[in-house]
Amino acid sequence: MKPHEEDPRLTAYALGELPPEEAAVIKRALAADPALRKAFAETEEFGHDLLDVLGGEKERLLPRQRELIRRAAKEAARQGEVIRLSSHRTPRRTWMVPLAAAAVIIGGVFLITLFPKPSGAGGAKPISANADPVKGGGLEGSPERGNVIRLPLKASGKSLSLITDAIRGGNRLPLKEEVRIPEMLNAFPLKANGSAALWDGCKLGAEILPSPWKPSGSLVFVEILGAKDGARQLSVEYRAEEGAVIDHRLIGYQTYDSDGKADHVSKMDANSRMLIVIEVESRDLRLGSLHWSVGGKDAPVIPLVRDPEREPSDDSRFASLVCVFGLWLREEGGGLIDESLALGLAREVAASGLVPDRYDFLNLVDEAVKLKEK
Amino acid sequence: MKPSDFEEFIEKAVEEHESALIGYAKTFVHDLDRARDVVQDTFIRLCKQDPEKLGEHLRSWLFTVCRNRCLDVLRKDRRIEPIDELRWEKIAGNEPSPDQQAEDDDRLANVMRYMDRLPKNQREVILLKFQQGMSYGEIQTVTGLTQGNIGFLIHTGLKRLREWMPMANRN
Repeated sequence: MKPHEEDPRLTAYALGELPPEEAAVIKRALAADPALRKAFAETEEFGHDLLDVLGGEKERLLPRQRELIRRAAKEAARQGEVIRLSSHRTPRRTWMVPLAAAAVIIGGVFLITLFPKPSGAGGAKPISANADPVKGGGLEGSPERGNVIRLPLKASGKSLSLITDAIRGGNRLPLKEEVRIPEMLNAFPLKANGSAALWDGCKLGAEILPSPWKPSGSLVFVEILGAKDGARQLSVEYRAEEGAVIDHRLIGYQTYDSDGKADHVSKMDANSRMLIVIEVESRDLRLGSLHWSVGGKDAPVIPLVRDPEREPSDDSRFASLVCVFGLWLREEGGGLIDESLALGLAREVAASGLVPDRYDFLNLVDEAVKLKEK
Repeated sequence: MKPSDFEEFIEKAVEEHESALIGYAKTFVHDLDRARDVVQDTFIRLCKQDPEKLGEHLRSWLFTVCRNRCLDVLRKDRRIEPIDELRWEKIAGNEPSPDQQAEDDDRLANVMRYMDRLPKNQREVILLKFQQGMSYGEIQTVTGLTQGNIGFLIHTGLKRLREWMPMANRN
């Protein structure tokens, strides 16, 4: 494309950020076009002014703050508190999987579309250990195909304890049937820090963030809270945005058709909590909506629209790590999830305030990676 | 790594990066003391990392952690964008500059006044480029934006600033 006055490459050239071949294109265009030269000169001059003003700021920490850091360093060195998460590759911004992965993903999407396609509203049941990915029965990478998914309301179990026992007690990686992601997620009190609605004492909340393993995907964290004063009959459905959503699936569940066998309404116990993760791949920011009813009465719908500017909460970052770790243990990442992604996410989570059980989980991830290496 | 080497590593990291990080944090929290607190916290978190694993990515790690901490602070304080007039006053001061205030501070305050009118993603990438001297690649690591997006944001942001800022306020 021929460079013009509004071309961002002009600014990139002024800042020395263009690769040689593109820089040569701009250089030739500047030589031939006086108007372009004028625009470039103005950009360059303004850049120098800005650099001059902004580059001169030199605030320092206060002496007491420097002393505090010195003491923390001394203490960490003495106690050996340094977190030594294994590193396999260059640390990376895990929310943005390298572009190189895109080709793999596109291939993966094609493969996924070959799986059987249930119709209508589907329910979900926890994934089983022996599900055959090839047949599409229980592959965590297989999509939910109906436009509506009824969300489960319970995930009680001891998967996290079994995983911990295997790694720390048995010095082995857990068996696939021991790794049940919904149970792992709900072993922590995680909150969805986004849109929320209250109805008859119950609460439904959702938070959306980019998928750490699929740049084109989003993870929707759905939090369901039971009423404080007693159990309720509750039904929660995810409805994919027609025309926008390409794929969607519940992480850690397999689907089954709505053939009358599934419970359409379930009981939500008093004070109970459930966190569910839906992976959605959409052509735009519209991901669909959550529809729910309490005691048979419809509650306010929660639209699901991704805001690219929104920073994920600490809880959703941690929940992403749990999903990645679970999928990695189950070897169900379709080539997109490996130990370096899990460790990269763990490093990001380590940068936020950590309560002891989450800190322990980071160590568990690290220990599992080391076991895999053996 | 020996304990004394580890302490030296932290000392050196503070020396090299504290000013840049405070400047960066201030663009989020808009208060020098709070920015210093965030940076102090960032370095204390660094004390729990393995220097050998961080390697050459120390600077990106520090800015990423600092950025996340700033956003945490804003979230907890409910002081989310967009900024208000009061915050501008905290940066620039709404009183006439006292004689003793350094000329550089005035220039910086003037520029920051205009910077604050930019959308936050434009402001952030411009500050990372011009205040911290980061390459597009480093900005990509810290913000998660693509380099193409970064180039577009910087180009658009600079254009807006040029339109808004009279020449007298630039120098």
